[in-house]
Amino acid sequence: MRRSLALAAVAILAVLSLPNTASAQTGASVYVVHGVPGLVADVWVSGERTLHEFAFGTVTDALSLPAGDYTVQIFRTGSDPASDDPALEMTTTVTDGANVSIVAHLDATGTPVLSVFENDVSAVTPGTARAIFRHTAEAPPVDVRAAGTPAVVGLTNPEEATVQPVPATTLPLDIVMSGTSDVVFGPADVNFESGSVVIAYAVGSTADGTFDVLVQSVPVQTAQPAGQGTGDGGAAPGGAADMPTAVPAGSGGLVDATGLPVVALAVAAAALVVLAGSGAVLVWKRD
Amino acid sequence: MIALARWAARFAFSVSLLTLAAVPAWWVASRPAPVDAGSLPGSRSQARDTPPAVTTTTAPRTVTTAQVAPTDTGAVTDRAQASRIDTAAVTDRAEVSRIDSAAVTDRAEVSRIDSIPPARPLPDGTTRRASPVAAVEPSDGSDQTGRAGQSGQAGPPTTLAARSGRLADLPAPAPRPVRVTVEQLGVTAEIFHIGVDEVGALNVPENVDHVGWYRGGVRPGQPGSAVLVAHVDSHSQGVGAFYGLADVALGSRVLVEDDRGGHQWWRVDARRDYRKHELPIDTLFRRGGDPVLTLVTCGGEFDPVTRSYDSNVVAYATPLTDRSEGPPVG
Repeated sequence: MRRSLALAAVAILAVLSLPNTASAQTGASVYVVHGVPGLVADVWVSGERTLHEFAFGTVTDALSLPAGDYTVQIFRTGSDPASDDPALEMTTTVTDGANVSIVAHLDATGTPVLSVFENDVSAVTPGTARAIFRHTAEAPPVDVRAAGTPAVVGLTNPEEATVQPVPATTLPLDIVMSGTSDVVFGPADVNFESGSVVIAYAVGSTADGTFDVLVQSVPVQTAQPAGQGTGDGGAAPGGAADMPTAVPAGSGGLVDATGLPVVALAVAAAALVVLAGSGAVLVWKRD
Repeated sequence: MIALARWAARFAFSVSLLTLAAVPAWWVASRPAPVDAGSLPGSRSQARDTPPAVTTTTAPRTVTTAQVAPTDTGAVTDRAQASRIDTAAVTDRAEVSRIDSAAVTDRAEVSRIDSIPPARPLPDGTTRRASPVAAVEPSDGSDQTGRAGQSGQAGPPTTLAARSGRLADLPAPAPRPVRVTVEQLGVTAEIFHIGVDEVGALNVPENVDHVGWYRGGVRPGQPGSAVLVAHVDSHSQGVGAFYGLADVALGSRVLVEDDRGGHQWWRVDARRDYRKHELPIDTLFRRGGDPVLTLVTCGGEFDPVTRSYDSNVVAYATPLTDRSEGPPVG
């Protein structure tokens, strides 16, 4: 009896001493995007190998991390982390509730670098989407066009541009050298789901034919406190506030389901007049 | 002479008395049947396990000039794909209020797309932001951080799933509706994908022959209510695609075709007439629960001054999953 009590006490203490992940710490969501042509790499996060044989053009799912400092190292696959140097390395501070994409990419001069972008995952109006375009390629400034119309003008490495609202549909997008009609990519269909955040990266290089576009769709933060910061599958926060308020669908008046028919009223009025007149005649003639 | 007059008066008196008595009966008999009929399809809010499958065929049954080609991976130049955005929304200043329409040079080409982002940044539309300072030069061997990497916390990174982000490798989006046929109305109409205006009202297609599918809601066949709306009429165009919806019989069929050649039959199970201020928004735009196809238009009493109706007429339809209930597929 005493032994089991002691065990129970230990168990309770153990539980109480665990970090309380349900309340104060919401952690962060981290994505990794591979935009360096010709590099097959392993990604190490704070001493742990997180990705193996990570290839150009690959985008990860969200990695949930508690807030804190992290060292991200990209080792060429096949190199020895114990003795070789990483190809790319950075230290970054991740804060509670953050949603970031860490991108390995070429800078404007073609040098591989790591950049961190904060992702805006605030709520998106239903029926629309948020599009974020990031220039992470070795290429001159570009314009992004939707159905031939410039949506972003003069985007340069390593900047981003947010466009919203985008209608929730599939749009043909292309990329041209800024101010020109020289198409460097597309046109290609890009789908925008209602209430979603779509992030597109220009990667690679226009100098050697590796220029490409990578797309990641990031779940929007839900209205309820998102304990893990990952939200659900892109659905907009629920509630009547996000629904349409009215449906105005008619202005012709050809359908009128109520009201007295005018004809019936006219006939009744005429009948009343005749009734009164003939009644008067009958009464008068009786005298 | 006097007798004739008296006889005429007596006759007129009788006739007018009969007429007066008949008018109320005539008025009652000529009133249209009440719209409300049938019981509403199930509206359980919890999500179902699997929605009914949308049947697909390789060839659509009907072909119209606005046929949308199935999406191929890669090259897309089919303007019809982009044309699913309703024309009216372009001229609806409420929806495009954040878009500088002057930036749209070719109105003819892009006019069927609403809210195309502007060529130049607007205060609340586009933002520019350089990436936070964290870009690091490739390690040149003199880096002192070491390869084990000290960190503030021993976070629990695990092996992470990853996939190609190339457009050609992305999964195709779920099909969207492009055409609807309401059998009893004898109407086949093109479906445009609509949003809401600045006050939150649906951007019903201005062309009364067009039907709008609310793209902020679920697709027909997914759990929840998929909303199709059309004008019942307009003062300039006459009767609309959903004229007669108030009289559509329970059990009559609706066909919805999608942009990948698939089709789904539906059966009207209920009709309702709601005063506009009593429109059950939560029911109409429900997410989750049984799939319902909700057809909406206007009806009720018409106010010629405001040129608007006081009611919404709604028909609720449920999926016909039994193929034998639908006509043979071509």
